[in-house]
Amino acid sequence: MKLLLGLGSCGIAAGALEVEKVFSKVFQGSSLSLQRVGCNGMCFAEPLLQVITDEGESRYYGRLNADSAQELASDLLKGVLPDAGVLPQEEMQFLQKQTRIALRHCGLIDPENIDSYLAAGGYKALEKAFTLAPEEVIEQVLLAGLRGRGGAGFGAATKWQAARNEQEKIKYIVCNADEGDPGAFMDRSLCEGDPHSVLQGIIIAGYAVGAQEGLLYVRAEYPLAVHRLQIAVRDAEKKGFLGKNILGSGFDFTIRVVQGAGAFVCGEETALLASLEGKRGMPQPKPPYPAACGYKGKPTVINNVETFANVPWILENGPEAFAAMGTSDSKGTKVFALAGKIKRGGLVEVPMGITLGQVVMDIGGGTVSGRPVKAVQIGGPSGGCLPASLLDTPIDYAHIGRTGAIMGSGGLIVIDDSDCIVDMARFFMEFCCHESCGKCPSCRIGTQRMKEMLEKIIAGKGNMEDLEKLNEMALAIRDGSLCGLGSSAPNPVLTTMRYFPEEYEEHIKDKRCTALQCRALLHYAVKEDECAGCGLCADACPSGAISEKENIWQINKEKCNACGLCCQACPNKSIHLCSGEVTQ
Amino acid sequence: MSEIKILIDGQEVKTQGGQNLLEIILAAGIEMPHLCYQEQLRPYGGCGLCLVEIEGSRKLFRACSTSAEDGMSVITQSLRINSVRRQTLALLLSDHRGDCIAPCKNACPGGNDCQGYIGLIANGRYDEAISLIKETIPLPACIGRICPHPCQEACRRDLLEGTLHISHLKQFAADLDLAKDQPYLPKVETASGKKVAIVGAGPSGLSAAYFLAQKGHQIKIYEAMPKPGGMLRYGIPKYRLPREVLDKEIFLIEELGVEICCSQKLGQDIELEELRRKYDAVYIAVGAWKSSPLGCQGDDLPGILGGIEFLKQLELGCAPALGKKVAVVGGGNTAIDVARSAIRLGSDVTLVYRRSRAEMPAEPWEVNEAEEEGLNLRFLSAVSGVFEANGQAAGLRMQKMRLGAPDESGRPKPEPIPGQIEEQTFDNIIAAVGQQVSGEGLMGLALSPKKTIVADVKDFSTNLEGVFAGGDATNRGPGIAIEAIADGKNAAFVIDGYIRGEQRTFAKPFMVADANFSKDDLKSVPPCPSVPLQYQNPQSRVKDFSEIVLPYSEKEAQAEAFRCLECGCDALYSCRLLPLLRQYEAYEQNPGGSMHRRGLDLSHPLIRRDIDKCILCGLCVRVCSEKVGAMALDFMERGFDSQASPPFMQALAADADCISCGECVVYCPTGALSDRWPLGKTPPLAATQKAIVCPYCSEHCHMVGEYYGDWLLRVLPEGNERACSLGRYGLPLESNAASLDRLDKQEEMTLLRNIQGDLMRFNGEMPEFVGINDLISYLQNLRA
Amino acid sequence: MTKANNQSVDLSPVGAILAKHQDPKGELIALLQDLQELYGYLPQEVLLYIADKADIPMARLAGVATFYAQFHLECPGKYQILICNGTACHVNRSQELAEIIEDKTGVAEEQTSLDGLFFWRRVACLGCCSLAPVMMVNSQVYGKLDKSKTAAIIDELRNQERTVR
Repeated sequence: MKLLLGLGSCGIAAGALEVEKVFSKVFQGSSLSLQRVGCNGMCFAEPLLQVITDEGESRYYGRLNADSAQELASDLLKGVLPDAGVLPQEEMQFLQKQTRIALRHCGLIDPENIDSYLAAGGYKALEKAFTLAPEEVIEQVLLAGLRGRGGAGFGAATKWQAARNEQEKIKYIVCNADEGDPGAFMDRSLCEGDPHSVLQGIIIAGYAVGAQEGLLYVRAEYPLAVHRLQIAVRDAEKKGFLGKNILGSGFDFTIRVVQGAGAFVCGEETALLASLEGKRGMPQPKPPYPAACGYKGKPTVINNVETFANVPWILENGPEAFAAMGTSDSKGTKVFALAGKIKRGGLVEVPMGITLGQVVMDIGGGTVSGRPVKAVQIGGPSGGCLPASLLDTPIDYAHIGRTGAIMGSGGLIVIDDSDCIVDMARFFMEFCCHESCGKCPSCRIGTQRMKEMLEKIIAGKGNMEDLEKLNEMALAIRDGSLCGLGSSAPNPVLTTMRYFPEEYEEHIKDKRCTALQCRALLHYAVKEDECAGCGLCADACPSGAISEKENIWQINKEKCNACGLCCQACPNKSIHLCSGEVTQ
Repeated sequence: MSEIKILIDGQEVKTQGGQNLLEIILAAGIEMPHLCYQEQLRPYGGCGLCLVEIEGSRKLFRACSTSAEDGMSVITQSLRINSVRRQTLALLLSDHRGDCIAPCKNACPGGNDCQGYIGLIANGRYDEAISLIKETIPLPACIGRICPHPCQEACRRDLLEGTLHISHLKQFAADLDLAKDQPYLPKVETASGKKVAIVGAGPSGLSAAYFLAQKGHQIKIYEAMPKPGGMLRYGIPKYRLPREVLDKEIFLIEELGVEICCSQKLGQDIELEELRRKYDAVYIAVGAWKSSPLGCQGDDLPGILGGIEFLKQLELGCAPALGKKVAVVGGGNTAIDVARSAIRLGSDVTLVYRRSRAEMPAEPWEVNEAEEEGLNLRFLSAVSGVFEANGQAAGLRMQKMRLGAPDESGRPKPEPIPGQIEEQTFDNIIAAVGQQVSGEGLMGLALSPKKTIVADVKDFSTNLEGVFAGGDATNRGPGIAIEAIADGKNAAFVIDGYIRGEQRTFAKPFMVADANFSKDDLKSVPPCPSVPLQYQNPQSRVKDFSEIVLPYSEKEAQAEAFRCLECGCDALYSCRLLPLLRQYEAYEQNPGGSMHRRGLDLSHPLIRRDIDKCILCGLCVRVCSEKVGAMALDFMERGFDSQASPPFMQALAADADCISCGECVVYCPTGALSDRWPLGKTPPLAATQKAIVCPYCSEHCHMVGEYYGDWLLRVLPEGNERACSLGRYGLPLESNAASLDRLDKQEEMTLLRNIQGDLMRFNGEMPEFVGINDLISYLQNLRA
Repeated sequence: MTKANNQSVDLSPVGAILAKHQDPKGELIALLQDLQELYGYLPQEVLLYIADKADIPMARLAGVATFYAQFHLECPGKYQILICNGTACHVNRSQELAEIIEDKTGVAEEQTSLDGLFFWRRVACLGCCSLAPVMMVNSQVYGKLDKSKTAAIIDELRNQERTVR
């Protein structure tokens, strides 16, 4: 019997280490032991234990804590497989409806043990690659139709071929693990759950392109990922998968793990290279492209973690199998990080072409509140908020692009009617403004001004001309910025203005926030027929906004600053949050 | 590199492969805005102005960082491109804090460069000061004495100890010039063969004549009064403007070839039609000489004098003798002038005004001076009637008033207090309640309901072809003298064009101004008391009409001039952002948006840093790194708060890597980095450039000297060359050596160190210097 | 080890760190990360020392140190509180955490409390979106927070400090 305990960053944050301690204590001296694995992506159910019986039956025990772990461990010790705590079929759909290519090993192997990886068939793809000529390896990737998974969706094989064509002897492979999109954790999970697949992809790329060194650029905010990647590199070197004459092929390759230092803009290729060279992460004009002139001026292929993670599978199973999944312009699968107001949040890998609705409703289970989905934010700060009416959009680069959003790296945030769309737009603009490198006035000053205008609208001081100005400025920033950060920063504003114009108008004309989120537009009100007349609210009010009239207490809308103390003080719960005419 | 062919805006251009598009476009003579590109430095791709469309792609490309490829088709101008450029420029403007021109210069209706001439006076450059003043004002000795100086209202030093006495400084420079054997005369171009008639030799007419004469046109002024000067002579008393001064300045205008014919009244001695026939253009500046009546019962009684009338007669020597008790009705400058003249004639004068002191249009200092001289002030008294005795006006019936709610002018409206009427007898009543255009002789000209001549605000044209008009006689009616002078100058510009067959209009060009300047921005300014004006004492000065204000001495003038805060931008004439803002009409600064206010870095004796003007083009960082190799500057922080600065935003003087070569200043496209003089003021001036050869060593580097007149402002390296710090700063230092005593020892040693900071190109021996004077002697020896 | 700002900095360990990096200028970010790991922040004296010993222009050092959010130029508190500002956390009201933290620590964002204990700021997404809203104290991640849980964490840390002393 195998007992696999998921230990990724969020599993640990949810308390998996305490669970592990409990199990270890109970199993001490017995033949049972826990195997540490990476996160399998069922984040909604962590801490999660997968039990695989000798007959091959799989059971998942979720949401463990010290007490339930104690009970479960005792049962297992007795040879009992309890039913309590097993994830119901409805929740198992989350995993069952996925097609796991990049995530194939996540949650099934010990990410800190290379033998675990080898036992699962690791490094076979590398062996196969060495039987092919480098150009043939590129051919396989080309036939598979693998597009970069970092967000831009540029053909991987095209990049590799361009670098291959360069006469220069010294070349580099860079793996971009600087997953900066807020709300995205696919790359982190891959690095924490299956680091060797990533390494293998990089080594294969190195062979195909003719490079000697790979640089793995990881966000500093991912300490566990950095740690596991460093262990993996060390172990791979020990086993001869890195270093000189790998597997007797005559090919030399090393990998260095480098940490980012907290700059979203370093997800952009030229900024990443600048950061690798010890400089400020400010993008440079392209051309020259990194494939021709990159790290230290040498040809450099830069691809995303998920892109590399797909490469071994393509070589092992053949490009046709990969290309058989997905749509005509977007082959294969994509990993999504589903989060927000979603019932079942976590990692979801599905073939391209599946609709947003299938991911959000069937796999994710819809909103945690049960209320209708208001919008799905896709593509992070470069993407857009798509309304529920577009849930039938197939997820591929072309279809998503036509909606005004972008596929992005895979972050999918679900929101319901308790989330304000205007505030979402402001949130992303604030992010871009904070992360702007400062080179182009369009981005540096433009995002600041757009942020200010959105803040003005949220503070109830906006007017309709502001919407026109926002639009004008958005188009100019899009055209005038040098890199993707600036040119796509206006997307959230543009898509929200396109799909939710009435919400903007409400904030401006009616000074109302229907989601009851924008503080300046909120006030509390006493429900008259529920008022007990005790006056405790007035005592609690710091603004002197509550007064009594004929034994009913009333709140002066203008004086109220929505601090909520009255609501807390009311013993009858008769004070409600309002905006305009909308009441909670 | 092989030759390739590309299309730019449909035109075929042959070029070398591998060049960037911006190089090619500029070489082809096509206009392409750019701020962060310099051909000796690697393309940066920052500012985003050099955008082009390339056929086959939906994106816009930066021309500076796009290589030309054979067959490429490039578009440099389109609605889309220009819209993006305009937005980008507006964004730059929204975080660009500064004033292109100082608020004083901005407030002057005539655009006089106050900061300029004050800086020149501070540096002891009096000849240059008067020539600068006379670029915009032909009568500075007069104006310096009588102007109500709107420039001083705008002066920012008022936030500290008090405004600069800009007007008095102008008087100082002008008087100094008038005292010379050969006062300054501007250059006159070769005769154009064209003739212009001007009607009215007041400030407006004289001004138009002065400027048109310089263009080589033949000018004749027809003046109705026996002597020229207009209101300057007949409306302003001698104790404010001595006639010798006025005469001298008018004479200098005549010296330019202007003919003034007096006692020629329009409609009487000459006709407008005749002038139109005989001359290529006519400028009418007849002023507003009619006094407004009191507008009450009895206001047509004999014996009531108009204020303007009285002053005119006084000048002509035919004013009636005044009795013991005189009433002057009114609250403006004319009323005060009349009252103070009457006091000097021996009368006991009472000023009657229907509002309170605070609402008087007269300048407050004039009212104070008048009070010192014994003027009785009667406020909140409206004249409701004039009563008579023996058929003559004998006294005033006055309604007592109180202040009520404000009217359209914003001033509290006076309301009568019912039942409170007073009567007072006076020997003479003078009504100084307003001026009007008399309208005589103006047949054919369209008049406004106020009876003023209708003149177009942009080109001074009237309804009659070839006839232009300006000054008190037009549109809004009477203003102040400097406004009339400004009209004359601007009309001359238009008329000069008209004569040549060009359509010209006058419009004040866009300037950036700091609307939120406050006392906080002056935190680090050391206090310096203002040099007050000195007056003759009131008891003695009322005995005659001699000038009451005493002039500044040279020491006083320099001390006062040194208080100037130099608000206007050093880069006024070299800024590359301002022309683009104007060209693309990118005028809105985002109101309410945050704007950085970090203040000046004046730590370095030779380089002034005004980081709030920085547009982050990166040229200073890149030149310091790529061309000079000193790496003293870099970008700090990130995003909206980025700065191009020494490490950790420290002061430039504390930057150990800075070698004071001044290359950053040469490349800076705005006023963020500029050359400054620790020994005096650095007024921004329109300089002429002259090639010079550096005299300090055998390298004989080619340099460019910027001069204002004979004064060497600064020395720049020629083209892409680099100068050593001696070549760059040595000559200007020598030419300003007289002011060395202004520095304290530490400043002197810092200056000494900085001047020797970059000797890379210097080909000679450098001894140890004890002080700056040693260095200067050494430099002088090198030159010999 | 963290040092309060008014104590002088011990430069002896810097040599060993410098020796680890063959190309200090090219590996500047990694070098600064190692230094910050050691000192808890980047003291000016250390930066001046590095500029001199490794021949890196001070402006370049300063430009890099001020560009990246990870680097602190002033000594942060004993407990560095990082509030995740990712989308999922924002949508789950991470702003309320910031308000509580500001209230309980008594300092504004990016400031160290007077007792030297706490320093807080918002950071880009920590990648634990299913546990939103999330905050990290030193390297410990806390998820599924609300106002009262957050307040309790701060109180607990304070209590720990008192018992230690």
